[in-house]
Amino acid sequence: MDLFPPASSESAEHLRRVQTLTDAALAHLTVESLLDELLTRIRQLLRADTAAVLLLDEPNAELVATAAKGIEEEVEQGVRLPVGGGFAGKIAATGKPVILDRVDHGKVLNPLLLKRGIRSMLGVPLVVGGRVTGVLHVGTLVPRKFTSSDIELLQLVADRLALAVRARSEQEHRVIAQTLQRSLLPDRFPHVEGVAIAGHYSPARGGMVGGDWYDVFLIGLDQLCVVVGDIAGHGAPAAIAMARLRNAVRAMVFLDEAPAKTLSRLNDFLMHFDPGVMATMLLGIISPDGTMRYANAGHMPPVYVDGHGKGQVIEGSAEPPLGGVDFINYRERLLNLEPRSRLVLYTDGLVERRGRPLEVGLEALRAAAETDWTTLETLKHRVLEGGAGADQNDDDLAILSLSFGSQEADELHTTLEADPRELATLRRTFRRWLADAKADPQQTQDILVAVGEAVTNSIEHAHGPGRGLIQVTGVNTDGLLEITVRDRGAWREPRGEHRGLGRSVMRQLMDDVKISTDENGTVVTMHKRLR
Amino acid sequence: MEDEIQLKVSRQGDRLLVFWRGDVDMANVTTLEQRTLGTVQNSDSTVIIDLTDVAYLDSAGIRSLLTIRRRLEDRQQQLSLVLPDDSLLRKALEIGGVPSVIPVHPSVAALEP
Repeated sequence: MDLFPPASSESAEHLRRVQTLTDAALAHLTVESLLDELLTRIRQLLRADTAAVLLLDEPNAELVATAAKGIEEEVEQGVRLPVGGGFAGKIAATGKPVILDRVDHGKVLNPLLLKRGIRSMLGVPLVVGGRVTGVLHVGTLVPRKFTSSDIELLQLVADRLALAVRARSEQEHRVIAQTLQRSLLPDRFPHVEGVAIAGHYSPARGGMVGGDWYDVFLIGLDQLCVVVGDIAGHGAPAAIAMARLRNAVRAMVFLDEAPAKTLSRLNDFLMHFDPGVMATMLLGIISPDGTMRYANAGHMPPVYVDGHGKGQVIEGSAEPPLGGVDFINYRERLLNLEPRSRLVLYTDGLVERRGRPLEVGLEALRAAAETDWTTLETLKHRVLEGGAGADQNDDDLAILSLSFGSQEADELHTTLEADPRELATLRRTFRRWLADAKADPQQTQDILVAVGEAVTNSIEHAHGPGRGLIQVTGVNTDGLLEITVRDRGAWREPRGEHRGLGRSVMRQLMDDVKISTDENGTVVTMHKRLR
Repeated sequence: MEDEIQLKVSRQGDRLLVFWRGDVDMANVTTLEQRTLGTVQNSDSTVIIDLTDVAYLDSAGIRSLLTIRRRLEDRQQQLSLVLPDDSLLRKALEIGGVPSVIPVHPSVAALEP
């Protein structure tokens, strides 16, 4: 007896057809080619004369002919059919397959199908996540009775198309929004003597961009304009609204360097041209005399770290966001920027967390801003860690920081591999810098040895067998040198004899030495006054 | 780097004179220490390390000098250093307590009996 009878010819044929439609090679096609290929195949398999896909244009409740075989004019003429009425409209409205054994005027609204002499039709919905996104239908020129197996096959194709089309449209939206967002953030900052500027933007979890942005530009020779804003909403619409607002800010500030007046005008601008769009914004103009005039339309307060390293949140009476209320007169505020101070402007994504009072986030930011952070990435992580224990932002966020040096500040920044051979190079770099700082030979020697001790310790103990990077910076403020050596390990004195020698040498050669270790590594900060 | 430090040796009777020249740091101190000790013979009663031409020396160098002294002491040999009075190295050596355990002379001539 034959244990494995051959499959009936009918089911074998069905299997072959399904394979035709689920061919792995199709996975590599673009959506357009996939539509084309699948329509060709389904037309052959079902021995139909026409095959067409209509996609739902949701805002207009219309089906738009997107691809067709046998009635290509349908696409060329951009046929649009209402949802609800007619053959395709009914499928879209009910989300169920429809068979027309005999086509007549009452049931079919598409004039092309009638003109072509289509006699029988079968259509199925394109469905993703329970929502109809379009219709796929086939038609024959001779009367035909479509079977449940035909419906099944057509639905298989429809499902496949629905997913591909949805994935493409989501991808397109995301790419548009990201590209736009990125193109709107300044890729370089104006060069202003004594001001170091840094900007950071992170999209929300999942890569979704929002309407957060920052901008920095010069007006005239020496007025520095800084902007941080947040448009309500996400994705492409928010990015587009942001683009319009950003350019409006630039144009208005260019004409009148008055922050408060500019915000009032921007409010009028939004109410007039973009009703429904709401935005918060902080706009500041920094003069070379070290003052910032600014105005705040419902935005997060600036965080200011003074010249002695003390941070504070510059609270002020809250004023409404742009686009919320007609005719507002914003108030102009003033902030004095001391030498060696830092200013941090940001959007709410940095400090706001679900289930946490805003004060906690603001305090986390204030405390983090006081610490030694070299990059905004570091600052961001410290705030997020210090706040809710969340290591990632739920919302998108933007940060803009400005560090102000004194006129005489002369800085040295260098990064070296944790490799003893780098020590000689580092000494050469420091000798040059110390010569510029007019250090005498003994001061030069003392500082070289102190830096050498700190870096040697980093090399020996901070990194273990793996290689790491060590950052060394020097700041000369009117003859007071501050030198920091930063690594990612823990400070450890050599074992055995003469323990603590390196540390003691450093302490006695410099005016003061501070060693702090946290989870990010060790920072040695030391000072020496030259005169 | 090896070329950052040079070592020269000369012998006067039972005194071994070792000249260090260049920068002494973590990168070369082990080699320098081994080479210095390698030149010492049993007949030497005193080893003099001349630091006059050393431009840089930190705690790695100080530790090494103290190690050399202990090794020599184990063999009943003495270590002395030559360091000019105005040497920039003096401060670090003093912080490291070197002059309290190793005699320091301002010049080779000052060592002459």
